[in-house]
Amino acid sequence: MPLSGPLRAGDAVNRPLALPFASARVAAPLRWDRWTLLTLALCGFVALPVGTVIATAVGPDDGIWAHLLSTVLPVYASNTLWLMLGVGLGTILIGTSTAWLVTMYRFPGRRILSFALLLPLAVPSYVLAFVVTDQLEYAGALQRALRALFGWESAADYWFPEIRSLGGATLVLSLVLYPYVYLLARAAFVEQCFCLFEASRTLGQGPLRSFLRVAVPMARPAIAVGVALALMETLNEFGTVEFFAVPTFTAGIFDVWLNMNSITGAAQLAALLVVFTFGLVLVERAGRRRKRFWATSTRVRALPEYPLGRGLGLAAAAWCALPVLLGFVLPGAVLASYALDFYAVTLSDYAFPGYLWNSLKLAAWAALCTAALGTLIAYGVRVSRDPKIRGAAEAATLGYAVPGAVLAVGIMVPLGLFDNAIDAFSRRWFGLPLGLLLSGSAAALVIGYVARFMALGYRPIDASFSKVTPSMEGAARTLGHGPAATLWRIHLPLVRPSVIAAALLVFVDTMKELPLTLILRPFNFETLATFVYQYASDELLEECALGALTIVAAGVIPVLLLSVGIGRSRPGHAAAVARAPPAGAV
Amino acid sequence: MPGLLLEEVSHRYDSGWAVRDLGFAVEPGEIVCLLGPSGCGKTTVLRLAAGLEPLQAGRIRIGGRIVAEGGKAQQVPPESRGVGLMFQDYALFPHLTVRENVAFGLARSDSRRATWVREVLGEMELEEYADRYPHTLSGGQQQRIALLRALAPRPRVLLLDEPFSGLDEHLRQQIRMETLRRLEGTEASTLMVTHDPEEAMFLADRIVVLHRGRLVQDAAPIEIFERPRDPFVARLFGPVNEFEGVVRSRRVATPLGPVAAGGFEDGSAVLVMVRANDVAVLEGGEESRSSVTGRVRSARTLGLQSELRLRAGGDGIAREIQVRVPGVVLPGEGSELRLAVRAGRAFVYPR
Repeated sequence: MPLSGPLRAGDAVNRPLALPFASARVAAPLRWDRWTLLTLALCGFVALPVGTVIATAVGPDDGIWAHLLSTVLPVYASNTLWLMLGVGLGTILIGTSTAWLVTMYRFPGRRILSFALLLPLAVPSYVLAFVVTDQLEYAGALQRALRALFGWESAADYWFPEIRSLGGATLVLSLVLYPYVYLLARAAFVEQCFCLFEASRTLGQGPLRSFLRVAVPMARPAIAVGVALALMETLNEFGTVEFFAVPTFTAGIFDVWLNMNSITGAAQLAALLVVFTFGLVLVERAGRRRKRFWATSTRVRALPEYPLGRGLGLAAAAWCALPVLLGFVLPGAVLASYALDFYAVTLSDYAFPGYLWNSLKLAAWAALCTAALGTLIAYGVRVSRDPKIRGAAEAATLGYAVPGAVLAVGIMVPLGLFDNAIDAFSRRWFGLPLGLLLSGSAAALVIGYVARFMALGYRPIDASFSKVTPSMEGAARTLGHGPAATLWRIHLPLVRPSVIAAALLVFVDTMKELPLTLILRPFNFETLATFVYQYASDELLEECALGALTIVAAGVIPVLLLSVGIGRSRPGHAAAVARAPPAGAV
Repeated sequence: MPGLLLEEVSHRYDSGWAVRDLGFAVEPGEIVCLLGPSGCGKTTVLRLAAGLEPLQAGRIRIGGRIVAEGGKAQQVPPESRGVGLMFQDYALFPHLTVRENVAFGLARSDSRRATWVREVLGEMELEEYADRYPHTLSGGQQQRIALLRALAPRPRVLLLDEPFSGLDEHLRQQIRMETLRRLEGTEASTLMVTHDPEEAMFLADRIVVLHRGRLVQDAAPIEIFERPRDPFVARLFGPVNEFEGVVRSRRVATPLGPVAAGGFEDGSAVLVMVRANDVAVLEGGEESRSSVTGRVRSARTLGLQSELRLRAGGDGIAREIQVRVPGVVLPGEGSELRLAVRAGRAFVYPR
């Protein structure tokens, strides 16, 4: 990568070392050294698409805004808000309750469920939407069975909820997004000093009241972060809402851009969405900041894992199993059975291995670039310890909350300018027309993914850097290692698991990514996601089931890794549980 | 030429000045203790010297070379200063073994990487732990490794941040002695930060007392103890009796009798300080020109010494006096004792 050039180990960068939590210090002018410039350049590159959208949005208005306001905008707004409210409540309810049950109680299947609850994360929402529709629509398995059972003749004989609706979208999205809340809430519960919960019990509060009054408030910052992530995904959602005909802002952007042919209008809608997102980002950041002050106790004890009685235990198991069944087992089983019946068709009629290879290649490049840039940016922020640089890094992560469609606009404009400039340069000096170099190439797609998923690369690595205490950095520096050598020998070995995890998350999200891929892909270039989306929305789910199943299977890998990571996060937990005698029943 | 020289160094955080106009030198082979209560700017001084904090004002030289000058963006980075810094939390690298930690500052080509590291680990009785990871070791072992790691590149300047604060009392004394021996074998200019006056007395060739970021006294340990330059320094070593008074006939009247006013003119308002250990309890036969009678109000013993509280003095200056005497001394409440200030141990300051 050309960027590594100026950062050879041993470079002396003439600046004092960074403290990550810049203690209150007198504001100093920004130091324009190598790390600062590199970090700003990288952030600028990654933030360019979002910046372009905002710049376009405040550009000349061709009157589309007034038109939008009087027609579809209220619908977009109300749909988006209802969807966010529904998904927010749904993910909190499912995520928090299951996290508490598997953390605190012993019941049948707990060990398996504790990681199975993460599995729906592997299912792209549009895939679940297709499967749910396939099963619940008039010709679907459930209604057929009901008609057979009760002897109904037609739709007029009975009432059945319309799945392709706002409610259906809320359900589908809650089922695939609750793992964000579950994951963070569970981590928070595991890290909580259990003594506080016990103190509450001795003060006369029952287990449920202690959960609501002590455990949940302490985990609130983590839950807020999880919900913020889930809602960002909701804002981003295109496949499901399009298929369910629930016009949200994102669907609106596609509509305004492609059908009304107004890039400005689309950008303006997008800018409005960015405002929403900013709110969520602030919530998320505030949550993370507060989390630091909440974990006060250093005494880590094995959690008691109260055994539950037979009835309660089965109820707990059923409650935890339900989201897994609906969000993972059902789509997995349906897709597997279709794939088994139709794999020969898929393989013979479509260039399936080619789609798969395209997906893997793109995902690998996106993962590699995002993790590398995320590491460099996170380290640059730490070395500079300047709030302005941190702000730049935050700007670079905004793409995560911006719908792929919007980012696509933001990428095509600057890439076009760049290509034309290069082409003109080449014609002028070498008499060689280059045409469009990057636009419509796989490289443009990778740039898009990096801009879109930088949050996934930067955040975990940035958070993980806190494992490296400022004194460790100081020790490495006073022992003769420059910033680059310190990054290589101290930070990278210590945060390697986070870098790998970040790369994996980006890999899987890239495989699932739909809208950005649909727009930016080269002509006639299919990935698994575009293949599945196109055929499934034409009601050919059976024929593309193998593709959908492959995406889901790829998504399971990081879920497994996540669940290993969370179990390890509590020092000595597993060993201590094995040794500890069972605690008294609740 | 001093190994480390600070000139008019000032440093400010948003909350206020951490260090103001600080200047002192550490000669090669010398151990200087920076002594002061927590929050007085001691650690900031170390970070400035190491280059971990940008210098805002003043000048820092290492071996005569200017490494940082206030207001200039270009300062010698920590890795090029030739300083060793031992952190209060040791900051051992958790992903490296003991051996790798100690060798971290040595170039890969350095021949001492193998021999020296093995040798010092042996000397410190750490040989068997060479391939273990730091978190598996005890606090005392971690402290030794941190010290060795800082010493390995043979720094010109060695900076120690509260090096013994993480150890319990028993271990502390042993490791203190051990550290002293190891430091005596080096030519490094050692600057050590501590809040423990006893530790400073024990280890330092010179003590620099800091109070609210300013230097109050820079002198040999005995000098600091016997001739504290101001009340703050006098209070560093245990409880002190403080009396306010006015000089009359070159003397100040106190509940413990008149004390010499030193150089103060008649009529000046002064503060007289007498350490609790510097009040002598006179035995039956002993007589002293300036002894007074004190009535015991409470007596408690710590074993090695006893702490008495007595009421002494008359004519409107009667006060409770705190006295520390060696051994177990437990006079009954209400009994009367003869008290006198040890010669030359009443410190007089302007008020």
